[in-house]
Amino acid sequence: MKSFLKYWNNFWFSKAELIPISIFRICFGLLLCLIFIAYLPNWERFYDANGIISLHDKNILHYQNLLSIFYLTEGKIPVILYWFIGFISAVAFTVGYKTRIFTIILYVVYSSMMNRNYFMVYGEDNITRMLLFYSCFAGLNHRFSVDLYLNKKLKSKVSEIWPIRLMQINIVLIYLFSTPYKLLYDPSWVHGEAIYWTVTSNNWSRFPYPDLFYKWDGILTKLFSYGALFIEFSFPVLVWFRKTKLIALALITALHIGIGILIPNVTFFTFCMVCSFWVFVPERFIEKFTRAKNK
Amino acid sequence: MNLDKNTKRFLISIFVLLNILTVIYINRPVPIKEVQNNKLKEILHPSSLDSMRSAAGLFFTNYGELVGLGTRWLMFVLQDKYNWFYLIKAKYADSSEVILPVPRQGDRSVLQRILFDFKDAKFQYNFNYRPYAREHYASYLCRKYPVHNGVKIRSIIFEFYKQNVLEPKEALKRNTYLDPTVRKEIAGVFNCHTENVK
Repeated sequence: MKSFLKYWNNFWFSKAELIPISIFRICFGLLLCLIFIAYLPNWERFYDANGIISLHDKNILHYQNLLSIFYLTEGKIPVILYWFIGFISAVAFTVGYKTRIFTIILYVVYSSMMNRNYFMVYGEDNITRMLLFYSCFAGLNHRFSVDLYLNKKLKSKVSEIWPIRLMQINIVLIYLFSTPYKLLYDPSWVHGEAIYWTVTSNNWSRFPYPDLFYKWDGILTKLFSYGALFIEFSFPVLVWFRKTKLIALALITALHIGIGILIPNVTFFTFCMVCSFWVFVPERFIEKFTRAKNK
Repeated sequence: MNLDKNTKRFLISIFVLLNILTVIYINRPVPIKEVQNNKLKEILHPSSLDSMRSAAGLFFTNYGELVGLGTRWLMFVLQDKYNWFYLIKAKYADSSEVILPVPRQGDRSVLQRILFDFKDAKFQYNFNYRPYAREHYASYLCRKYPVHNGVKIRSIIFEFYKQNVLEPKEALKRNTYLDPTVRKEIAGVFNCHTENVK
């Protein structure tokens, strides 16, 4: 029992590595800024009372999750104001100004967006909200931030690792759950044909030579499909060991960038996943990398 | 509130477990659900089993929904086996049909195609499987495009075009991956009620 408690405390309550999580904040913040910019011309279409899900619809309560600040303040605050609040919060989050407060605001706005119009909810939204939820508890501003510039004491302040661990475990669980489902629900993954169906899809693919994926007995589709499965299966295990962590991170990042190149409509999802991998990067690797660069 | 270190750690540990268990509960695979139910059936009375199951389900589902951890992770599990697209038209009182200038059809700038229309592929994917989402969208389009050349809108038409993708072996034989037949279906005609059109 004692050794379990020791391990538990060590795993959840040791000091967080501050540089990687600060880099995560900057990358994730920049992505959020871009997402808000992409939302701007669509904002009223998606979230206004007269938008796609009209608040004047008598069946609205069937479709509407009431946990949305847009719904709760309808008629009192113009919905476009929330775009400005979200965008300003994303900028503040990126530069690390009043980080905790703006993270909470971002989380509330983002959750409200998802609850107001769930027809528009993507995987990237679920991941963004999960990362924002845990970010509310994390000390993301201890490096490279305006908060640090304004308060030098922040540099020596300890930040516990548990919110980062929760992010890590949630990310790992995404692969742990979705990968077996691939084999259970779609035989094309078992037969190594999944990537063929992806690259030939007019809705998802932008790959200019889909023909390559049925030629030569479909060797490319098998290679990519089984390769993707191998990376997704191995990542949740390999990422926890010091020796294999960087390889696992490099492979999963390459996989997602590959997906982003092949499938244009999931670009933000790709960016979101790639940003989230910063929470796994060990500080010693960044220090080693910068030392080597300075030599 | 000043809590000593151990109490604080204890409370955080409960919070940590709550979050992890929520994600695991919501994502637990069907075979595990069955094993769990069978095991519980052996030791519990059916009525207490039901109430326990619904209490646990309600608790984790509501908490997951509240904080945003209620997602079932099915990343790229199912692949489309056919190509499809929608053509959304408005029919006006003079019987003219107009292709609406909405995302994914008509003239879209490069910026619109690569950035601003980023949600619409998924939206169409969603309304492909949820007819009531099409109804909402139609109602919105009635309000958005009420008049064309001075003529009032009558209905919104969703044309659905589908083209099968050949199995890889068949594609190799035919040296093309697309079945030449493109099928057109009317996925829905929604009348614009006058109260929607202002």
